[in-house]
Amino acid sequence: MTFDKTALPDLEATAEQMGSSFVWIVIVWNDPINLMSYVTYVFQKLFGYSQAKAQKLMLDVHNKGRAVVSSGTREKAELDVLRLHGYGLWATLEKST
Amino acid sequence: MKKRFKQLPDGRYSVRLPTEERVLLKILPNQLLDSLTVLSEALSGNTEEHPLGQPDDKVPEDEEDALLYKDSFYTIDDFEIPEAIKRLIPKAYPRDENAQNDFSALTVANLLGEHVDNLTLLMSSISNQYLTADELHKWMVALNDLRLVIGTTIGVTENSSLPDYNDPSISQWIAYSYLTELVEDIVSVLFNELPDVEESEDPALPEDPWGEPPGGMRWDGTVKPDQQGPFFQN
Repeated sequence: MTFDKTALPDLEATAEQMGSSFVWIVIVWNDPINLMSYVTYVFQKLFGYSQAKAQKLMLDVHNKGRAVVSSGTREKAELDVLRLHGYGLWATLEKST
Repeated sequence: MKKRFKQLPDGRYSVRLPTEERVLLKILPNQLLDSLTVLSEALSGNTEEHPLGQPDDKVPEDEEDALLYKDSFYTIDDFEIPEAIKRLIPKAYPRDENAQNDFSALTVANLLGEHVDNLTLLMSSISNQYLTADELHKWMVALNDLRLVIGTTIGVTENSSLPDYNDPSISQWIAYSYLTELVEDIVSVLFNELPDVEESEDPALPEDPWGEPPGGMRWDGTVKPDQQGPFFQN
C-alpha cells in the first residue's frame, strides 16, 4: 500500500497560512502635520522606549519617511497600530519577510 | 510670557488660558464632534435613523432580507467621509483590501468613540483652572485631532507657511498655528510624566526590511513624486 504524497498535509505551508511563523512589523509613516515632539512622546508613552530611541525612530520617520516601531504577533501588531491611530499617527502593519 | 500649563506640587496642572482662547476652544471642536458622533453611533448600531441616512439602493428587495439588513450595523464603506475626517481613521492595511475590511469592522467604531470622548472632555473641561495629568493628556490628543482635521482641510505640507491675510483660508491657518502652539506646550510638560528609561532597556526592533528608501515615502506606501524607488512598485 502506498500513500499519495499529495494527500498528506503540508505542515510548513499550513503554519505559513496561519501566520504563526511570521513576525509582523508596525510601521509609522511620515506626515506633514504631526509634530516631532508629539511623535517622540507617543513612542515613549506607548512602547516605553527611552527618549533616545524614541527620538531616533521619530527622526527615521521624518527623514526616511517611515520607521519600524514595534513587532510581534499579528494580534499585537494590530493592537499597536490601533493605539497609534488613536494618537492620529499613520501606522500600518506588514508581515516581515 | 507665562507658561500656559504648569505642573503643581499635587501633580495637577494649572491652565492659564485667557477667556477668549477658552471660548475659541469651546467652539472649535463642535463641527468635528458632531460628525464623529454621528459616524460613531451609526457604526455602533446605536441609532436607526441618522442624518447620513442608509443608502436606499443597498436595501435588499426581499422582505426578510430587508428586515435583516435593517438590523445590521453600518460599515465604514456605507458613508461618504470627507478626507479630513478620514485622517482620523487611517488604514492599517492600505494594500490589502480584505484585511483592511476585517480590521475596520472590528476597530473603527471604538476608534471613533475614543476621538469623540477626548473632544467631549476637552469641551466639558475647557473652563477648568486645573487639570489632572490624564485630562491634560486627553486635551493634547483632542487638540491634535483638530490640528489633523484642519491641517488636512487646508492642505498643510512640510513646506507650508502662513498665506497672505487676504487668503480665504487664513482663519483656518491661524487656528491651526494656535493649536500647534498648544500641543507643543502640552507635550513639553507631559514629557515629565514619562518614566526614565535607560537606552540599555530598549528592546531590539527588526530592521526596516526595505532598506534605505531613495526619498521620503507617503504614508500609503507610494513614493513621493520624482522618487522612483524599488519599494511598493507593483
